[in-house]
Amino acid sequence: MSQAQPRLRAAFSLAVTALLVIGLVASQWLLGDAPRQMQFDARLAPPGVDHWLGTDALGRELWARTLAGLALSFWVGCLAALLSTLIALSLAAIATLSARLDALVSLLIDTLLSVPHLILLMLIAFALGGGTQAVIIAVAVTHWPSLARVLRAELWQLRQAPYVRISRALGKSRWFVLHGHLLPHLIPHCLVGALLLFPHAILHEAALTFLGFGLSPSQPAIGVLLADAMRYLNGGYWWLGVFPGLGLLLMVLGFERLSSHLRRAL
Amino acid sequence: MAAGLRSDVPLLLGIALFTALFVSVGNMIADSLYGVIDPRIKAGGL
Repeated sequence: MSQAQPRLRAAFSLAVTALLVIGLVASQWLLGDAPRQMQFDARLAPPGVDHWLGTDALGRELWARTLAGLALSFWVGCLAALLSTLIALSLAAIATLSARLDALVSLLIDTLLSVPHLILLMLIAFALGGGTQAVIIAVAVTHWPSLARVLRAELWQLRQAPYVRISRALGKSRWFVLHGHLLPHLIPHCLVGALLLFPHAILHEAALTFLGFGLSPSQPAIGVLLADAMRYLNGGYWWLGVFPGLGLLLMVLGFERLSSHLRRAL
Repeated sequence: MAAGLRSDVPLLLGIALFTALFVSVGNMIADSLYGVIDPRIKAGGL
């Protein structure tokens, strides 16, 4: 495959990622209760034929827990990326309406960008009381500014296009122009933006959970697994940390590649 | 990091202020550069 076929590469990447995601979701359906089943005769077993990726301190299979954690991350990341794309799109659209609203939205963007992400995330998740819903909302609320800036700049450019000005001069309302002429142009940007936000959302979700402000410790989330692994690192139980971390890395890289291919294709 | 752990408030406030300043000024410069790069882009409403 040469670089002359960006669409083919994008389609290939999309197919691979879709296959992995479908496998991930299907595995949760097939596995059932496996991530929570304890085997007390096989605690902290190293990776081997019986226990593929080893077991944790309570004898729970690490491969099942890693898959469950990735599936959980996927849902959280999906919802958070979707929500923050929606926020970015609506704010960018509002900013286009008038100069004053634009100043307001810029102020909001600057404010959010200048506060460190993780601190804001921790504050919001903590204020909402923790749990899956709080993590999704916290990630969605903190991740939109960069995408909003991109969309806003794109709208600035589109606003001066001749057909937009003609439409305005013919007396169409600003809302009509926004809906009918401007927003359809932003669909590819939104798609790529959402896909680029997704790995960020997953990583921040894992970081938040790792620090103890996110998902509850009873859920088999990647952050919980890694936090658990930290406690057993001194004992030489490397598989507790390596495999969940690798799973997360693979997922993030897969989506990162998919979004970069899509950006070139669209 | 040490300032955060020992809650050195003036230093943290200074860091926050400078981050905010850098972000605002940077975004302002970027916004004004849009007009320089592409003269069709003008500020103002729809």
